[in-house]
Amino acid sequence: MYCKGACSGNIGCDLPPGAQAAVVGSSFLERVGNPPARWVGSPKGLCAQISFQRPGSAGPCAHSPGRADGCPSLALLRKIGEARPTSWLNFKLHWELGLCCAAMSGGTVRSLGKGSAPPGPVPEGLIRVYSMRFCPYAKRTLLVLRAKGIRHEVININLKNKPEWFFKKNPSGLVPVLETSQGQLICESAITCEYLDEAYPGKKLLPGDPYEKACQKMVLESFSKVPPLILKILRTQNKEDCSGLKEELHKEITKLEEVLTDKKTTFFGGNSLSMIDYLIWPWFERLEALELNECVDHAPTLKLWMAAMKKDPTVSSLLTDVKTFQGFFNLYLQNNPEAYDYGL
Amino acid sequence: MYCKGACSGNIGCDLPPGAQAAVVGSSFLERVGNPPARWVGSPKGLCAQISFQRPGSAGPCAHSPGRADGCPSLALLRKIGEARPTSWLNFKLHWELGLCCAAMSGGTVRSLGKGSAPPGPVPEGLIRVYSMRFCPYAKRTLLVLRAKGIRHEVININLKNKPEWFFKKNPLGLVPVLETSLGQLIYESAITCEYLDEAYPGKKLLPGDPYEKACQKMVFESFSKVPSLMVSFLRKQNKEDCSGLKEELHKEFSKLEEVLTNKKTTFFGGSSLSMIDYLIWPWFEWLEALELNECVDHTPNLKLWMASMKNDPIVSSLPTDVKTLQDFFNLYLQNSPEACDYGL
Repeated sequence: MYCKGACSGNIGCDLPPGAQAAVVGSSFLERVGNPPARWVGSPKGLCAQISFQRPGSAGPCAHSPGRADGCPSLALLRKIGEARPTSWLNFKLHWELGLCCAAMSGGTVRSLGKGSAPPGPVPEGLIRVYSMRFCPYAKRTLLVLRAKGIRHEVININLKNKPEWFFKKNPSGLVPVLETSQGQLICESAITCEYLDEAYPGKKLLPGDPYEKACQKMVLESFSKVPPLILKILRTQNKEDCSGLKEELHKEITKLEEVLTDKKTTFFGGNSLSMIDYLIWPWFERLEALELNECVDHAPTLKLWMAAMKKDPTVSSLLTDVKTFQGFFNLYLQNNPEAYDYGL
Repeated sequence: MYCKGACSGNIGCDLPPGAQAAVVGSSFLERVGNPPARWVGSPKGLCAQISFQRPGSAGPCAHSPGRADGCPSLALLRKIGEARPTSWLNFKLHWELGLCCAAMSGGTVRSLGKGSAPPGPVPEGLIRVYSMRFCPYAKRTLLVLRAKGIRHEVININLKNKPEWFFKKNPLGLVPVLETSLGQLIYESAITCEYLDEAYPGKKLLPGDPYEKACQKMVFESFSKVPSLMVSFLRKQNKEDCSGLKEELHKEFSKLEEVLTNKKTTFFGGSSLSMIDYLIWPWFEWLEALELNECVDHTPNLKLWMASMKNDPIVSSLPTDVKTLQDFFNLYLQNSPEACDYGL
């Protein structure tokens, strides 16, 4: 199920537009039937355009691919619904309590590979992001889409077996790519994020003040050595080369620690989360899976930042767990095209 | 002499604020004496804050370092002033005809090196740029400062013998760096350019439309391999194994050619010059000096673009002389601390 944002948020549902809901199970539909017609479009009822998965196609929770019974939201849903939803009224109450998992990461969407049919045009009112579930660059774009509540659809690309049509979206063949309903294409993760912040209303993630904005960009610049370092560490089997790389990473992390200690704020842009935090987060998400937690041992303020990030609703709704990362990394290092759909 | 922009441009003088004027010679001051007091501050007279070089410190034309008698502006000045200015009235007329050379590139300003005293705070109403006369990255910032008519002062840094205090301005020790009168520091050339466009009024060099702005940034991204390719080419002693580099450069230029062909406009942002054109221009200035003109032989639109750029008043007010650049390259490759001041 996913919300098309038709109610403009006045239902009180926790689900941001475009969010894919956890599948509550075909048994639910069998049990309670279709929603009452009078509820369709009603501001107090379910969102008019919620679409339902067909019975039998229920799958694991999209929130944490590969951890179907471990998903905290589903567990909570089960707990409360020991009074299991027996009617749409019940279901609405569960929905409004926000117990449906949002999985905008396209967690249930298998990637498209060579020979796949090109997707059609992007429906009006939506923006499309070509992504890959484990790509840190694409994660930036997904975080921003979610943070700003932008209605979107996700198409995952098999990066080891790219569809030919994808090079028409981005000649370099990389994700993320944004496609608008007018067919405009925007590539490069940082460019996509800035575009979304400017083109869509709501909370601005970048500061309005030119100097503060420049500061965020300078932090991004000083972060820029981290992604290639982490990739190298992932690819390095040799323990000796690894320790050299870890030292370099430690040095880069110290630079970031300095930024935070100078600013005396929790986040890199001030006291609340903003663009720069989302832009650098995806690589910190990977530290534990790569057994690199030691690299932040001497960076206490950065450690606090990581903890604060994990608490952020947008970040936590898109968290990938350690085991899933490691499963992906293993297949990735073997150049296995199955890597990209790991856990589905 | 340099204009402090105090008259807000209503004198009719061709000189943009901050421009250093050609020295007309100590003989002039000896001949005509100081400007009349009533002219000071008068909207019809000389700009109130024009400062004068002390007699005896007259130097070559700042417009083209190393080509004192070859400077076209000075030659023109000499021609007209066969009726040599004999009074301030004459001088004003010469000035208003725009015969004074503007040299905002800090062409006469010798670079500061190790052991030099740190500069004082930036005067209010001005912004300071730490630069180097031959640095293409710093050139971006100078082009934008000029294009927007922003009052500024230039301090050149000897990049082969950096002052210790400079690392307080930019821990990386690189130019360009902007410093405001509030002591705010901004570095990374692209960030400085975007900051200036946002923080200062007047013509916007970046488009307001988020998609158009994203397009300019994508072009910038596709240009990104060119600087390192050209530096590699410059460093190659043996011109034989350059064909590989030339081919790579040719490939990168073809990408840019495609952009222009698809857009069907003269410039990279449309039919008039905008930010992206200034950002990539400084490296095209190097082509002739590096004997790489052939690399644009198969890219006719790019060639036309180069010609249009050379015609732009801002670009042509900051020219780079081929021979001077080549001599600079030689000294720079030898790591000579004299390189940065070559031609002064």
